[in-house]
Amino acid sequence: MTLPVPTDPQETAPLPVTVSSAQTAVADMRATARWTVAATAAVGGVLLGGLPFAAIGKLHGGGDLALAVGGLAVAMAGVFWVIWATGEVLTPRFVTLTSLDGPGLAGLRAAVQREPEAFFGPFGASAAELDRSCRHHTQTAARIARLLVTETDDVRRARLTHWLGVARSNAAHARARRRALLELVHAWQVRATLRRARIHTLLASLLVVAGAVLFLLATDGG
Amino acid sequence: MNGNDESTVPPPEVGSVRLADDGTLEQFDGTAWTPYEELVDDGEGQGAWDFRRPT
Repeated sequence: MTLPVPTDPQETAPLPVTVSSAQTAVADMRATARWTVAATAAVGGVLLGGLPFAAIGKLHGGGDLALAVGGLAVAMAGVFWVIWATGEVLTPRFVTLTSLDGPGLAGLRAAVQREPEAFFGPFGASAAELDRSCRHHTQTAARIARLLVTETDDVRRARLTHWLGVARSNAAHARARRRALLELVHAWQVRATLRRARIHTLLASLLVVAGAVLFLLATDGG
Repeated sequence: MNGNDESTVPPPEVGSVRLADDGTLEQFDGTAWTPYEELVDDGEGQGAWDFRRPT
């Protein structure tokens, strides 16, 4: 004889999925990257669309022409460099819990080691333990549900129903912790990429300026 | 025969659960039955950390 098993309240009223501060931070960082790309593209447009016309009639001889073309090429290389480096921030990323061990996340790893409770709650002291905890509580809920199917005593059914709720709650909270940690790892990856992109942007800006100076030297020389 | 029958009773699997007489739930951890407990958490997954916009 099989008896009904109470439905999981998480299926009808799951834990609230809110936009975490990590997701908000990612949106902010991507907005910064989009702004940087747009501004750089505008600079590229001015370089390509404006400078060649300004140089008409001011270039005399092959040397000037070579210098102007070379300067424009150097400046445009800087523009493409910025767009390429900053575009990395906008590229979707594949994130797992093992990504926490990846490069650029040393700061996050140190924070996790300092305060594991803040990141894993009562579900372990490492990402691997948190992941195991998710599976453990989900499997425990399934085992309790199997006991309930064959339990006929009302008192024992009531007790098992209580424990089924406990196991499902534990599993839901562990999964919420895991999801929050994945979002945090992702945000940290984007943050590291944006910081690298800012350094690239600084260096590439020097290239753009150098290219523009070469171009102006060529036209001034005429 | 009885002894042989007892020896054929399979040991519980790791993770098996049983309801104790006092109403607690016990789980086999591979060596002993230990109480299964409710783990209280704050509910939304994010602990005491935050990303803040610079002010």
